[in-house]
Formats: sequence, structure tokens, C-alpha cells
Amino acid sequence: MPIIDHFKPPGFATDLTPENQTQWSNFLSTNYFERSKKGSSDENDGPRKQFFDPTVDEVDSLPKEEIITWSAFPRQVAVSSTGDLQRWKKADSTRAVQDEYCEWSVHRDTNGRILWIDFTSEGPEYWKVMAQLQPETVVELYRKHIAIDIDQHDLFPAGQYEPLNRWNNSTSNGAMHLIQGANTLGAEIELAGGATIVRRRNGELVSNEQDLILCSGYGAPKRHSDPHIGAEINGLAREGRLITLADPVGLFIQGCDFSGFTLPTHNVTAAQCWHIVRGTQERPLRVRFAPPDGENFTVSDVQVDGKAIAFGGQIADKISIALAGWATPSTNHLSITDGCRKVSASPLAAVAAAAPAGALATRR
Amino acid sequence: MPDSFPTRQYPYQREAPNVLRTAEPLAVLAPDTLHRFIVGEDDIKAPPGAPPLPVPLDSVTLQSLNDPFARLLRSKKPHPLTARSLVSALDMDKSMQRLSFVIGEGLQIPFTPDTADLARQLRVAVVWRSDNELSVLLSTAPPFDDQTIFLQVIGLDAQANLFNFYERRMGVWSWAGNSRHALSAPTRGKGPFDSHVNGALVMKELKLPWPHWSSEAAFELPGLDAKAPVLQEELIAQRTGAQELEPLVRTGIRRWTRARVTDALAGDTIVDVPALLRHLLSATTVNLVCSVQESEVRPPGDRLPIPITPFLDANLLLDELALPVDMDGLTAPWQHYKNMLVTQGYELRDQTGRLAKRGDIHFAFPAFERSNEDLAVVSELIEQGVLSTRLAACLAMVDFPNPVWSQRREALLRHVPTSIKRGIQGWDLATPILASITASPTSMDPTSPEAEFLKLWEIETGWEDTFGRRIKDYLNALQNRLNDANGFNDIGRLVESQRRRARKRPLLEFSLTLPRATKLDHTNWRMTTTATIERS
Repeated sequence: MPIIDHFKPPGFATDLTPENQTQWSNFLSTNYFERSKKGSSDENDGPRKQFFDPTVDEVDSLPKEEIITWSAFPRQVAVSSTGDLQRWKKADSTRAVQDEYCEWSVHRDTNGRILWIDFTSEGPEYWKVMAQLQPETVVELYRKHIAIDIDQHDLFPAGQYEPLNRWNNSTSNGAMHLIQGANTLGAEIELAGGATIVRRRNGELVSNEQDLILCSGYGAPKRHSDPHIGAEINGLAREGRLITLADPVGLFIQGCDFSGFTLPTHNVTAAQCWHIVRGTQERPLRVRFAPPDGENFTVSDVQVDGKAIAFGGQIADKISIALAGWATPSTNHLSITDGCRKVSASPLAAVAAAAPAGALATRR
Repeated sequence: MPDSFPTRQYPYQREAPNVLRTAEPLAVLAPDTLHRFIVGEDDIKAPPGAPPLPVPLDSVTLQSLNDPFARLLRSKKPHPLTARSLVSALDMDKSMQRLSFVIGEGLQIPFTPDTADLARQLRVAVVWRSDNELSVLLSTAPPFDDQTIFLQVIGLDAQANLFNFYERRMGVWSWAGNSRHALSAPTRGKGPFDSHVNGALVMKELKLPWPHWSSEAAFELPGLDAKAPVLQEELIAQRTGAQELEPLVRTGIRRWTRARVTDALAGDTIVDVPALLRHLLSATTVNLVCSVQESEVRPPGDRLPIPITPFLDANLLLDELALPVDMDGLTAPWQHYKNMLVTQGYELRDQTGRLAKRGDIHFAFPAFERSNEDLAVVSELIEQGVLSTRLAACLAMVDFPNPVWSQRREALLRHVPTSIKRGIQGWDLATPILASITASPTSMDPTSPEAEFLKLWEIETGWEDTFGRRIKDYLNALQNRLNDANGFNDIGRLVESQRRRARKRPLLEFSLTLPRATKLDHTNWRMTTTATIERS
């Protein structure tokens, strides 16, 4: 029997009716897991024999959960900047550079003081499916988490959900879910599948993080996320395990390292400013950083590493994003592929061709 | 071949040559008793002809030690004398969460029959954290049941805001001093303070990609035999990436620095101003930085990211002082770098001189920046009103293309008053420094650092923009040099001369930390404002 009947919504979200949850599960399984298991044999990148769909495939032993974490701050911004101030400014300037599966929006008062910062790790696909099945729920959630008076036509111009609507397309007007082109659940599933291919080159198994991602072509080498996720998964694959993504599939905000936070009052801790507003304690999807209700200081009065918070990026530095994988204890499934992936078309074209309609950008 | 750690085993050879050289338990030392052995104080107290030994700590001092490790030793008998038993004992305190981190300078050199015998210096840093701060740090190496391998502990006294240093010495635990002992003679630079030079936590590879640490940038340990039993040890198998140690160390440095500076400012007089200003005008210690790019993996676009801070104190000038400089980070053509490794004869050798590989360490272009400890003091001095941003900027802009070692900037220390009194408007360092420099005959020499400072100080209005433009011009010149093959090689010469200088510090105790450019002579180079190099 497969391990689970169906995938639950990301973060154990309870937005969808039971019937629609099944639809969500079928969507994931058919559109992403099936494709990711297949890969591309033409490109020496499939089938991915050590990657399985837990709603469809049977495995010989119950898998164990493995959590893989990485820093939320966009590494590519960090390495291309001259220092902290510049990189925080860059990262806060546009969602387009927030490519580590975490995006944020900074809400300020008329004096420029930060009142709250919202961080999200919710994949766009879930919202698109929800918009098709329960559009009224989407409107409710936007009104609850972004602004109470949002006009539904802002979200559904011409009757169809627009992920890049004005309440979700900037770093200052709200961030409901991920919109950066590479921050998708589809990319996550494809990355996981691609990373399960154990590659041998010149008689040696490839194991170095950068070598792996360049050889297998499953993501952007210079991010925190892709190389690290790929290396961890490939490490399990080299042990001969069967691997998949744990249920519920999705990214989550694993936590924030509060070492270095200083508050203007001893009565409140940084942890008390960390409000999980969607998801669960184990799988936070959306977090707001703001003083607790009733306190008369702002986020701008909080210091991180001795500096007053002026950018969401200063907190992103301290946030870990995660995904959960499942790996079987059994280790007799090793399948080795000789050589690297051969990309026949441009990488973008190759993955776009494999993606379901209406979506879904690659992480390349 | 097992690693050896001669600089971690007692004694601290450079500073205490008369200390008994043994790690073996000594029967004369009372078991399960916390001793003291502070190098600089206790090693000189032995009777004539007798080797100095740890002595049992007096009861007043014993009770005053208020970190979790001291509390453990007071309450638990027998004392844990191995890493394994110590971890087990500290784990009993459920108010703390344990994390372990792995470091080793040879851990990224793949294990093969040819490299099997390399001394890779595998070490473990075990941290217990509580309330988001590092409470206890254990530094050791396998085998974890060994009673002679080095075992060093740092404990945070959260009330006194300082760190206590301990080591297992000759079969007993000894208190080796606290953060304050690092600051002045006769203990400054001795014992643990030869590398914890300011009494703070030290992680010399503090930033991404944390070279030599297992981290999210390089988590696997290809330098170890995949079948080695040590890989099954929980401290290694369940390790956390060094990216999570960095914030703990930064917070610890800041906590101690704040306490230390606040103490110094507590009365109406700062009695040792040079001890504070040396953190701006000289480099009391250094941090190791490098490119985020692996040295053997071609980067996208064939451009190698180059760290900026070996060539500019960006942490201070651009971040802390926010001088406006609008440009991207530095890069260089990959081929220039690969060619330089060959033409300058880069190689890595272990402690025994064995050749590990020809080429660079795992991440490209290791170099040095001014330390976070030094920056923390300057930042604190600015925040507490001792240093104005303008004075800090003018001093830091003297010889700014040489952020780490600058004799010119260091020479200005002679103009720092020994003490200053707090005035009605607070602390005024600018007046006495300016007066001393102006009165100095050397200020008449236009090439002197004094003259350079005066010219910077003369710019009263718009100094931020002016300094920012100078830095930008310099960085543009530097980028042009990096783009040019000869220019890149010159920068390589400069960096190698900095490495040679750094190797003399106790902090750089392991050979595999840095490559050596074996085909370069031993000229010392410095950078100019046009990004050319000249002999220093």
C-alpha cells in the first residue's frame, strides 16, 4: 500500500474542503510527482528510480523524516554586494531577488517606521488551485492577512486569479504567497527528484555540492537553497535510500534565530514578536514580525546584531527555511547513472516543456 | 594517521616555555577539584627548580565562577574528563540546547590512498545554547573517550557578561582565566588569550562560506574515509552547519564588548584610551574570508567573486559608517585566477610538510579582513558617544586601501591620549587627538599619516560623500586591475604577503588553513589608492 492516501495542503492549512483537498493532492501527484519521477531519459536525467510518490508507490520500509534547512536571505544578493547595508537595500527593493523560497513585505507608518514585516513561504500553485476551487476563500484570506478592504477585483481581474496582484507584488504592499519565478512547489519537487540521481563521473561518485548541481542541473548553483537541498538529498540517495518529499509537500519557515536581537524593553522577547499566522508550529507558512498587541514600540526600535531594524533583510538573515523529506531506512535501492545530465535544449526550455500549463518557472 | 594538536596541548609553547609539558594526569593534583592555571600569572609562581603546576582554586573564586560549566564542576563528582562524559553531563541541563559543529582544514581534500595520511585536523565545537545565546562552548577532537586529547571549555557568565576559560590540564580541570585577563599584562596574549586576544569568542572563519567548517556551503566531509567509525559519532553525524554558529559567536562578541566598553566608561575618566582605539587603528586580530566560489568549480559566467574586505574595511566604512558607495561587489575572470595558481605555485601542505594538493583551499582566494572583534569595539565606542562618526571615519580613511595591516594608521596611536575625562557635553576625543597631531613635527611632512589625517579632517561639510567618492574611485580602479591579468597577479602577491604575515599569529595554527604561493619571494606589499601595489 502507498504510505499515504493523499497529500495534505501545505503547512496543514485548513482552507480547502475535504473534497478540494483531494483535488489538491491529485494535482500535485499528477502534475509534479509523476513528471519528476520520470525525469528525462533523453537528457540522461531519468527515470529517477530512487524518487517516489508516497500516494501512489509502495516502499519496503516506512520512511523517516529528514529536515533540510537553509538561510532565507538571498545568497546571490549577498555575494554581489559590497556589504550588509547594500545587500539589505537590494533584497528589500524587489521580490524578484528574494529567491530562497521566502519572500517578505515591510509595512511602514507615515514616518517610515516599520510596524510589521510579513514573511511567506507559500507556493503559488496552492493559491492558484484554491483560487479555482474556492475563490471566496482566497479573498477572505487576503482580507485577513493583508488588508481588510481589499477589492476582490484586484485579485480576480477579468474573473481569473492574478498572483501578481497589487497586494502581492511588492515589498511594501503585502506578500500573500511566493511570486518570484523560481519559488514554486513544482521547482521544489523537480529539484528533489533530480537530486536523487546518483551520478558517477570518471569512476567516482559525484558528491560535492557544487559539482552535483552543475552535473545534474537541478537548480541555481549560487543560491543557499538549491545546492544544499540537492546535496542533502543526494547524500541520502548515495546511501541507497528511496526518497520523496514528506507530507504535506511545501516549504516552511522553520524558525528565526533570535540571538542578536535586542528589544527596547525587557518585558518582551524577540520570540514574542514572532507570530505564526498561517501553518502550524511545526510547519509555519507565514510569519509576521511585530511587537505584541499593546506594546508601544515598533519594529524599528528593535536591534539585530546591534543595528536598528531598517530592512526586512536583517530579519531574513536570521530565518531558516526548510523542507521535509522522507527517506526509507532500507538502503538497497542504489541506482547509479554514469555521466552528467545532457541538456538538449536550453535549460529553461527543457524544464518549461516539462512543466504543466499555466505555471511554472524553473529554478535555473 | 591521527591528528596531533601541538598548539592546543599544554603548554602554550610560545609564552610559557617553563610549563610542564605533559597532558598526562599528574598524581599530585587533587582529583575532582577545579584548579587554576592562568598563564602569565601562575606559571611564574613555582618555587625555584619546580615546574609550575595548577593549584586548587580558592573557595571564594570558585564560588564566584558563575557559568554553567563551573556550576557543573561544583556539583558533580567525579569531574567529567573526556569529551563524551562532559557532553553527557552538560546534556543533563535541560535549559540548554546542544549543537555540534565540525571543522578541519583538510576535510575537503578527498580521502584517497594518496591522501589517507594527511593531518586534516578534524575538530569539533560543541555548543550549549540557552535564551538564544551561547552558554558553553567545548572545543575538542576525537577520540572522544581520550583523556589526553585537548579539551577546552568556554562558559558564559551571564551576570558578569564575560567568558570563563577552562581546560583539562594534567587530569584536572583548570580555570585559565576570564575575558578580562585578555586585555592587559601580564596575561594578555598568553594561554587561551593567544588566540582569544580580546577575551571574546573566536571563529576566525566567521562569514559565508565559512571555509574549513562543515556548513550549508560545504556540508559533506569528503576528507574522511567513508567507512571511518568516527563518522558514526553523534557529534559528527548530527552536526549542524557553521552558518548557525556564526550568529552565536557574533552575539557573544557583542555582549562581552558592550560590557567591557561600558566598564571602561563607567566613571568620569577613561583611563586607557589606547586600549580602546587600538581596535580602530590597528588589527588586534583578523578574520579569514574567501570567495564563495569553490576553487575547482568554474563559476557561472566565468567570473570569480572576490571578497572586498581584504582591500577595504567595508564592514566599518560602508556598513557601520554608511559612507555612500554605489557599486557591486568585486569579481575577476576565472582564468586569471586559475593561471595565478600555477604561475605563483599554490600548494597546500599539512603540519608535517606533506603535500596535500597543488592549488588552493576548497574555496578560492582566502585572505584576511579586520576582525569582527575590532569592529565590535569601534561600533560600541560610536554608540556610547566616545567616537564621533566623523572622527572614526577620518581615522579609518587614513591608508584605507590597507584595511588590515597599516603601519601608517597604527602610527596615529601615538596621538591618542592615555586618558580622557568626560566633559559637560560628553567624551571629546577629537580635540586632544587633533591637538597632538597638529603639534607633531611629522604633520609637516605631506606624506605622513598625520598630514593625511589633517587633510581628511579639513573636509567638514559633505565629508561622507567625499569619502564615498574616493572609495568608489579606488574600487573601480581595483576592479580594473582584477580584470587585467598582470593586475590580478599583483593582487595575488599582495594577498600572499598578507597571508605570510597572518601565519605568524597563534590563531593560524594549522598549516592547511592557507595555501602557500611557493613561487613568490617574501616581499611585503601594500596597496595604493590607485589599486597598484608597492613595497611596504
